[in-house]
Amino acid sequence: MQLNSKLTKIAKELSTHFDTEIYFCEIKGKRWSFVAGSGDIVNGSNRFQLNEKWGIISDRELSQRNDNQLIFNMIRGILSD
Amino acid sequence: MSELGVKDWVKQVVKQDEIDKYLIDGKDFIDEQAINTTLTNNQKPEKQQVRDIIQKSLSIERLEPDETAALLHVEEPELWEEMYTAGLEVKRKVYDNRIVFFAPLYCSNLCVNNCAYCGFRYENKEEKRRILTMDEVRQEAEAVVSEGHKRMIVVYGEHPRSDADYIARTIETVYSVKKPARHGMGEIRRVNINAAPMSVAELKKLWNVGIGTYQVFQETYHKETYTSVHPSNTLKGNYRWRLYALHRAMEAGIDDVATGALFGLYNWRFEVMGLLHHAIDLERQFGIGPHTISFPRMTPASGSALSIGSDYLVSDADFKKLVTVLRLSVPYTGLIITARENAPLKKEVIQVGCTQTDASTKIGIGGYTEALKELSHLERQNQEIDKQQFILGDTRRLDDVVRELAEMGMITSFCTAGYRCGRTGEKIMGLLKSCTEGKFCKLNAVLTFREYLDDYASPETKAIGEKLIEQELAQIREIPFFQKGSLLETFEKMYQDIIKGKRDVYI
Repeated sequence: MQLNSKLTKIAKELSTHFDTEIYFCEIKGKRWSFVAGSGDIVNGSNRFQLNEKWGIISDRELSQRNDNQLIFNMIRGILSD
Repeated sequence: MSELGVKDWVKQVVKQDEIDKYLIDGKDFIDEQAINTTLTNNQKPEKQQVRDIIQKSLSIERLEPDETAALLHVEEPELWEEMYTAGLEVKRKVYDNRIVFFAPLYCSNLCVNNCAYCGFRYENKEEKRRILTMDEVRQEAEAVVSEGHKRMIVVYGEHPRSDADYIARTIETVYSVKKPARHGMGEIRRVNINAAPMSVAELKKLWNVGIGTYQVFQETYHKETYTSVHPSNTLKGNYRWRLYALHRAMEAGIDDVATGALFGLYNWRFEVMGLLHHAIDLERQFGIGPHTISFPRMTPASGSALSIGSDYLVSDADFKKLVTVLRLSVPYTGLIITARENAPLKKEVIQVGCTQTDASTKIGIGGYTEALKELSHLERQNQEIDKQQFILGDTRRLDDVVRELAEMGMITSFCTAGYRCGRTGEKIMGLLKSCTEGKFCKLNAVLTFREYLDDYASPETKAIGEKLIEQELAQIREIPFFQKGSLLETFEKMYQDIIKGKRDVYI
């Protein structure tokens, strides 16, 4: 599966899990370029950097509790492939 | 910068396969016969037809060539008034009440081309050649930041010394600049560039350093005219290499691209059609049209007889019309009017739907630093035609233009939120077409205008600006869209944070 399609699928699942819309963005300097997402975000002020190259923007702040860290690590793994 | 000599560098620039892959049935998207036929077939549009087309624009739908051609041939003054009004309404629907400001920075006038209309042409021996070092780029950017700007367009001649590597370093240098303001630090938050066409590999270098918008103007879409003003033995003489520059940019990942034509080279109606077809082909091949369209008019340039004597120079009245038709034809795109135009005309044409402009503009190489040294108020007299690409019509300071717009009820914005919030490329196009993006434009205009008033505005501008910002806040608190979720609460907190001195907050 192409990365964009994969990320769209993951974004939709994350959206259900976190009960908020999700964008995956590729980071280049100041630019967070939209790559894939679950829907349209209204409040784009919540940005979470996964690693140097990738970030998530969400309509609500994503909880950083431990079980969510597992999810973020899995995503980091996919993005590093 | 390239280690190759000029001739060897020129030889390796054009990649024919990076033109051919975008042709359809071996043809490019400018079918001159079809354009001329379309223009001829729509020379006498009916009133109701024109009004129906205007309604389509107001629905934020991109027009088809026949519709644009019809608008280009309207003769009745009353219909033009309706179109001017509609242009502003389209702009307000898509982008709300704000005008975004930027400053141009000319980094180099070294050029391998010999374009008949341009002061940088290599045969122009009167032009004083210069390319800025990174220290000089930094100084220029600091001078721009000191005015209150947050956005720049950086401009380069086409030359091995200002190749993609040089351009990438200038982008990084500009982004690195921080200059104290009344509160916190001023900085440039979005760097757009206007440069020569490049290969996909070269464009990826710009992508990797976080370029904003990549702008390449076709100058003229008319092929015979293009050949006559761009000698065939020069890089710029390759029409299709330039025509597909933005297609290559999209392929390299740069999904904010900008088109433009230099009005005055050929028939202005033809050029408007060319710009429309360019937007259509980008949409067709990538699903994304141009982020902005520019329409510089030819003005006197050093060593260029054409810049004064062309048969196709555009009158002020026709200039306002062509901008209006562009506004109505491509409702979602930004429209940039620059300081090439004099202040009264700029004020008039902004009101038919422009979205961006510049001020405190210096287009000489090293011009900002030199202006600071001179501290001269007689800025028009201090323009040096032999260091500039052309002569400016509006040399006013940013604060003066901001105040003028505020007096007109238009809020100045230095917003750079979109490209930092994932509202880019296909995503922002969708948001613009649905008139959603304009909601974010409204919020970020208030946030950045608050910063400007607190950090840079003169007392006179601040007085008028405070009234305008109160009006905008009142509107925001009433609009249902902003009641969604925690959006209004987030915005109000950000606004208060800025008042307390926090900077660079955006939605």
